Amino acid sequence: MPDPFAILGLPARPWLDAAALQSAFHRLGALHHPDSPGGATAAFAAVNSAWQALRDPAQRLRHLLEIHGHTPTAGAAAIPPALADTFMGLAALRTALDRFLARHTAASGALAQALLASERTDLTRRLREALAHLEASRAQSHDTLRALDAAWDARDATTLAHLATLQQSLAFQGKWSDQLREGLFQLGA
Amino acid sequence: MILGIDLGTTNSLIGAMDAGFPILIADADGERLTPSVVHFPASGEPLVGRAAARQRALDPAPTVYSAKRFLGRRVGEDADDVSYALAGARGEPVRFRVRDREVSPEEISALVLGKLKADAERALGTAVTRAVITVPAYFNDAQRSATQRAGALAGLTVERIVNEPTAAALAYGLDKLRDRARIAVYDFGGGTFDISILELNQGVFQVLATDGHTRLGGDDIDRALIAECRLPIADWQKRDVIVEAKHRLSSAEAVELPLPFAQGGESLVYRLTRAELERIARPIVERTREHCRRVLADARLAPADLDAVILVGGQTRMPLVRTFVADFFGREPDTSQNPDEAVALGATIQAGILDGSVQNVVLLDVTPLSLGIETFGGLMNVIIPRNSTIPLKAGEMFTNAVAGQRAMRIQVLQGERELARDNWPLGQFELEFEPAPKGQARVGVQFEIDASGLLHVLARDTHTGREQIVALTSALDVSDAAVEKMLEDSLEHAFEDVNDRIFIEAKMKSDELLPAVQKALAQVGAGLDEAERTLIAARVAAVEAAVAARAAQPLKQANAALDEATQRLATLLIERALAPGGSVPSA
Repeated sequence: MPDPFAILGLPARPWLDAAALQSAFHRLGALHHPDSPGGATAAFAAVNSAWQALRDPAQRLRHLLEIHGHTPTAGAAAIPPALADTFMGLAALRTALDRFLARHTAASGALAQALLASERTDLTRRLREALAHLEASRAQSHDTLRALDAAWDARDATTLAHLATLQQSLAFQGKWSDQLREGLFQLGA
Repeated sequence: MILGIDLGTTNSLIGAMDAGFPILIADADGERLTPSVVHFPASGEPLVGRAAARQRALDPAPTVYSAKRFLGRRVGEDADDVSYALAGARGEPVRFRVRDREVSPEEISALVLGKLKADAERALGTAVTRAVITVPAYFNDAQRSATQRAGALAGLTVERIVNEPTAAALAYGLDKLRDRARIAVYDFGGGTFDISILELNQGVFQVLATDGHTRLGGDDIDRALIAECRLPIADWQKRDVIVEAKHRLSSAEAVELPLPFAQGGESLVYRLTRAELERIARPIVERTREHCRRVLADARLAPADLDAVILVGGQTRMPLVRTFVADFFGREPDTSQNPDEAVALGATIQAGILDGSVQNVVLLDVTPLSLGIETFGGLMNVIIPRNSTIPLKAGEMFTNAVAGQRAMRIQVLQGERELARDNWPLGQFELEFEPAPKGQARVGVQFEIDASGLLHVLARDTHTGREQIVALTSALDVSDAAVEKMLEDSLEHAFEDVNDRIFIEAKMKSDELLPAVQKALAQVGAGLDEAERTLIAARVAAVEAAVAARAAQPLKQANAALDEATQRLATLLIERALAPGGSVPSA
């Protein structure tokens, strides 16, 4: 896809201030919207796609790496070793949640649902703990991202390699965070 | 000049921009609200609006109201009790039978739009041909298209379909363009419920997330009231007095309304207290809670992050609703907007944006439902997730699964469920491949959702560069053979033994209930007293006896009695689960 940074007039670097992105999208979105004088659906759709591409840090990094000729290698979907333990824990939690939700849906009366109350409380606690843990990891990733941003102007092949690893971590952390949040939502938390 | 129209389930309104302000147009009687009701007399032109609504209590069969509930829907999608006849076989688009004709929901809506158009032309002294029409944010593609068709039938070019809560946000924010704010719009109308979260920033109105239900509204409360009303008159005769009572109870604590019917020489009276109304309405209002939770989750916001909650829709006048909203969002709702008029004012402002009479304001709305296609295994593959800002384009590449394959059928769906069949089928199309070895043909499909939330599909063969606009065969056009089959299926069930079915359903319930009671007694039974335990044992025995005797109705009653007797067990279980350190992983 065309360079999303260029479309939104933002510097192509690892770090991007969320408020700056939102402002750029509002300004250019309003300008190119089909309802605005001189605007058109195609132009707006391009601004829209660029905004979508830059909102999520993992996606943004992927675009940045592509711009610098660093395409993801085959098997890039593999889980980074540092996240392997997290993955195993989450998989177990996921199974427990799915089993619980299936039983909860099947329970049609108030009494049957109340029997599940204690398991629900337990699962909610475990999901919250897992999410807090994951958010802490994400915060660390963001710190790394800032550091790489500071080193961006003097970048070399190692910088790009670090960014690629970070991109994978962020992608998994983001995906798992979303899944945990959805799980908590379904538990009524 | 483009006008703005709120085509509501219960009432419709039309407005025009005048010197920078949206103004709603009154009809010949000076009223801005036109009931969305059409009455077909034995001879002569159909009546529309208040005149038709007056006929409803006298001659209900040829009086159509709440037609919006049926726009873009098929027979069998859900049941409905209206006092006029529905027509059409299962799976066909819903039609109404009036006198000796069949009419479509689009035609009824077109008659309402036609009256609004005529009123506007009289008031403005000029022809009116272009309009913006609002729809519930949660309307799917078929419902939006049907609304557009209704407009076309009324002689209007529908320049844009706008989401109702977004329109209300426009009305709210027009005089606050300098401010930055995050607001929620809680729109509870006659037929539909929508909740939207928006960010307002220097003239940009951006929807962050929206959720809702197209079959949840004041009509459901009316239906529940009618069901509880014991007066010896027909349901359709109860409707007007029930609606009047409901309105009055927003300010009064109790009402007593005389009816134009008598029994045994005495006039019938309908009595209702606010407490009774709230008891009946509460479960229906509670159904909005899940949607409010979902929309906040999708927007990644907590109630405290919002600056205001706007109430829209006549039903939000009910004190119970206001309390619910205040409680859920942790703030008093903003009632600065007229709940009946905000949407129409917003539609008028959007019309002004389109014709240039409103400057420096732009609406960035979202598509409310995920869009995807069916893949192997019957799963839904999401191509455009819900709450994506529109207009947008998204592409998918398709390739041939076998060598020489000439065509591939793609089924397009809207919805959030994992299985394709649980989602709403928007339509299907055939992709054509040039003959090629397996995996070599490549056709790119572009899905575009325009600013009205409507889908357009474009296919492009990457080798030949040939582009074709893909026309989706709407799921509303069902082939004759398919209709035949649907009819057969429904006839098969018509002669099922009703009693058998009741017993089977009741037995499923007791199969679940009996072990649950034993488990609950084992876990918290010690918290009950002797009398309670004895009662439960007796009621368990009653259930077992009814099962043994295969007695359907007694079993149903015995289940209900046992449910009631075990309420305290349920409470004890929940208390134990919530006690600090009290939760245990279940066996």
